[in-house]
This record gives sequence, structure tokens and C-alpha cells, in this order.
Amino acid sequence: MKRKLGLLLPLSSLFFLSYLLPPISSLSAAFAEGATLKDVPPFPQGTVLFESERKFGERGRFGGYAMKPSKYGVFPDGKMKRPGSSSDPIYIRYRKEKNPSFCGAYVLVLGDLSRYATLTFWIKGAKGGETFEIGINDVISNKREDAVIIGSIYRYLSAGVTTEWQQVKIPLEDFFGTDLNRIYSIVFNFNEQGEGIFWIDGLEFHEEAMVHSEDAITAQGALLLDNFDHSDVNLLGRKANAYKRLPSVCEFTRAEEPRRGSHGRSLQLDYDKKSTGWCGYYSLLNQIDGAYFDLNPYKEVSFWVRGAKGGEMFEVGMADRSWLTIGDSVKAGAVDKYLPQGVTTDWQEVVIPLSDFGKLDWGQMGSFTINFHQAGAGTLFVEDLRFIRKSDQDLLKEWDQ
Amino acid sequence: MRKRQMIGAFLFYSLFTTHCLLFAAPALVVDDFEEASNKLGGRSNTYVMAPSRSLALKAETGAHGGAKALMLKYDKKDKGGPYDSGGWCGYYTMVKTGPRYLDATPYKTLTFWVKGAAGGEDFVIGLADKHWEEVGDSVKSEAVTKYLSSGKVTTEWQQVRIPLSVFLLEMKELASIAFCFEGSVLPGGAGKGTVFIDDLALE
Repeated sequence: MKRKLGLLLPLSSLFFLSYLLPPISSLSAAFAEGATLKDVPPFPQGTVLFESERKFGERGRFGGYAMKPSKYGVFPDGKMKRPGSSSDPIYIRYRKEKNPSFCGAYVLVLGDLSRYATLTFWIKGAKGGETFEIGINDVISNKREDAVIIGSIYRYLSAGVTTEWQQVKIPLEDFFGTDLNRIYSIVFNFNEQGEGIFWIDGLEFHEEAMVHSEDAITAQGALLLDNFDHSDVNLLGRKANAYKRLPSVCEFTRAEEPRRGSHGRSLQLDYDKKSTGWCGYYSLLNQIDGAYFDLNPYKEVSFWVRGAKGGEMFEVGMADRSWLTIGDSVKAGAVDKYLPQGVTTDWQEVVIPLSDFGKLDWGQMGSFTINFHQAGAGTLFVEDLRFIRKSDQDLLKEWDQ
Repeated sequence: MRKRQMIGAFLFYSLFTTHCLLFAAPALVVDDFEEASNKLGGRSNTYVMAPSRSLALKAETGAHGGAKALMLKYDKKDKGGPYDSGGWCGYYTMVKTGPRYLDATPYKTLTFWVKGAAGGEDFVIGLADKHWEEVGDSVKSEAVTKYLSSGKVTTEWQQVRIPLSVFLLEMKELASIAFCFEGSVLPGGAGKGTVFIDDLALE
């Protein structure tokens, strides 16, 4: 009996011990609250690295890249402390000259991020207004030196970098197309001419989704697809570009003047439409080879427009999955249908009911287009491309019809 | 000796049950319908195939908990559409976040609160794991009224509790939860109505 009791007591002791020690599930939860770089699991077995990647690659290492005359500087800064943090923030300085010169900074991850949903870090600028694009490299894109760029820091900090510490929260799903099992580096690419200094601290990965972008869209009553301020990808992180078929041509730039508001840029389209060929500009709503965008909750598309001379003519198109597949779009009509006085040298808002685009598959939308359909050359400026949501009253009215 | 055995067994049993109670997975609130996104950060929307249709709005009065509840209007037809079966309609919420599926193995029951605008409404619950998500469908429960002690949806809030075991799924990789207005649980295979849903959770 003593022997039996002897077996029983250690068992119960184990249960007592389990009350004193944090349960494994609690430890996992704490881990999920914010894993630092050192906590990230390593690459899966069999991950192929170049010899140079193996030798150079050290997790947590910061560095940069530049093509002269652009320059960068990156180092841990013990003099700068974030309140509540014991770590040394990373000091990043850049001077970006005219294209094609470039520069950027990176932090090496060399790990498996597939279990995480959100990337967070803290940022503070020396003057405020410092800007860069955010990208990520998996072990394949790193070999191609072609990071997946998801847009400017303004996509995640609507007021931009300031002289106060701010936490940046980025859903890892925004890095569409990367192999999250094999992440080599996180990239800060200085795409805008200028210079600046900022600090990064507290880089962490979280298992919980910390960004609910749909909440902001619902609160604002509109989806801002692009303000053209800081990045060539739109604010959904999708590709946008000019299209052309010779001899017609169209080129896009983002212009500091003219623009709406006190800062940022407008989209400048320089076009020369001939009697043959075609040209224009598109902004994607879908991820390439990924999910299409559901525009069912929206009722109108809106944007602001002005011309260099006035009288510029174009038509507006939308493409769903099928139209995107054939490389065309359904046109709502020419701009003078919505601006009776036509395009002038003043900013005017164009508002087009989505119903004017006819019977598209609104749950599977692909792109918005500006198409120059009349022969002639000119320059057009576009700002603040938005989709306006239906209100509850709109939806109920639609239901009852 | 028998007394000591009984004390020992009692001690073991009480410690074990206390341990289970203390360290069972807490309930996971999937959506309290207070915000546009669900509590896991997943998107939610209606799904429709014409001529059937559905509409999801947030009801700002009469919620079960908090300020808002989900209001689902449905209009399920029995003719037209693919195979002349009237199409389909319902509402889904993603529990998958980005590429990461939800590990629902710590949970045993799907719970939510329901009431109808008129009473007598019915629907089924659909759950999809990675496989079912890939084929764009879900495994359905029985009629929701089977899980209500009153046997029917009324105009008062009632809690629905559905054992996850009724869904033959890989719970380690749960993708979505759906409210499906299936013709099989509607009189004559068609029906139109409004239901309110609140506090969707896994326990």
C-alpha cells in the first residue's frame, strides 16, 4: 500500500507543480504577444541559400545598399532611447538622389514567419516627414534582388513619420506572393528624392491580426485607392502603371505640382493618342494571381482631375475578372458626361455611379482605368481616387427594389 | 487501507478536474459584430448566387451584447440559377488570417445567439477547413432549430450550441464559418426573412 501511495503522491505533486509553473499554453500566448527576431523559428530544412547568403546572413544584422551618388548610414544608436525600451534603436540616414540612383536599408530575418500575422516596429524621425517604401525578400526574391514592395510608410502611418515614437503595424498578408516560410530580409527602400534620419526600434512579430483595415474604410465611408503621394503602388499595395500600344503612348509620373492639399503629389499622365494603338493608365484592385476585390459594398468611384491646358479628353473604365483576362475594361463614358464643362485647369471632382459601368461581376473586380480614346496629345493630373461605400439606407433601398 | 486509497483517489480526481477547469482553453470570440472586421481580423461578407440574395447589416438596436448585432436578410429562391435550383445565399466570416488557418482543436462547441424578425426562420451553419475552402464550399450542420431547446427561432434571443464534432473537418486548419439559408430547411425550398446574430464564439 505504501508503494501504491508512493506512486500517487508524486502524481499529485506534479499537478501541484503545474499550478506553480505557468502552463505551456500561457507561455505560447505570451510568445504570441510579440516575438522578437531572436524568437523567430529558423528556415525550414532544405532551404537553399547561396554561399554568399550563408556567409553574409546573420539574423538581426542591419545594413544598406546604394547606387552612387545616393548614400545611406545605418548603425545601433545607444544615445537614442525609446521610453520603456532597453534596446538601442537603429539609426538610419539616407540621401536619395535623382533616379536611376537608389538607396535603402534592410534588416536580416533569415527565418520562418509563417506562424505570424502582424509585423510591428517603432519609428521616430529627426524632423518628421521622412519617407520610404516597405518591402520584404524571401530567399528567392533576395537572389533576384527584387523585394516585394507593398507601398510607402504612409500606407500604415497616415500622418507619416513624426518626431514622436509611433508604432507601425503591418499585416504580413500584405506581402502577397512572398514565401513567409523563408524570409531573408525586411527592406526600407528610399524611393523619393531627398534626405532624412529616423530610428527604428522594437521589431516584433505577432500571431494575432492587429490591423483591421475594413474598420477604417467603414468609418470613413470610402476606400482611398490612391492619393499618388508617396509610392507607385496604390494604397491597397497593388500595381498601377501606364499602358500603351504604339504608336500611341502614355507615361506616368507623380508630380509635386499641381496637387490638392498642402503636401504630397498628384498623378501626372502625359499622353499622345494617335489614330491607331491605345494608351492610358490602370490601377489594380486585385492581387496578380490572387484574390479579386469585392466592390459590392460600394456605389460610386470618385477622383479629382485637371488638365495642363484644359479640354483634355478621356474615358473611365472598370474591369472585372473576365474583362481583366481579356485585357480590356467596360467604359462608363467620356469625362464630359460627368463634367459638363469638360476638363479645365482647375481641380474638379468626377463622381461616377458604378451602375454606369453596366453588369460587371462586382464581387470579382480587377482594375480601374483612365483611357485616352481621342487622338491628341496632352497632360492630365489626377488626385484622390476613391470608392464611396453604400450607406445602410442605400443597401436597404436596393434590397426593397 | 481502503480509506487511504479512497482519499488518494479523491485527491487525484479533485486535482485533475481543477486542473482541467483552470487550464481549459478560454472561449474564442470570433465576432461580436461591433466592428466591420471580425475579432480575428478576418473579413466577412454575404455570398450570393442569383436569383437568391442576402444582405448583411449591423443592427444598432436590440443587440444581445454590446451595441450592435448582425442583421441578415435573405431571399432564397427555389427556381432559376444553376441547375434551376434557385441559386444560393448566406453570410461567411473568415477565421483564417492571411495564409494562417485557425487551429480550432482546443474548442469543442460553436456558439452564437439568434433571434428572428418574425420567428420561425431557419438556416444551417457551414464550416470550411483548408480543403473545403479550396473547393469553395463548406460542411453543413443540421437545421439550426435542432440545436435550440425551444425547437424554433423566435423573436427572443436564444443561444445556439453546436458541437464541432458534427462537422467532419480538419479542425487544425479552420478557414471560415458561414450562415447558410439552404432550401432544405426552408418550407418549399424557398423563403424570405430576417435573422439577427450576435456573439459568435468557439468554446
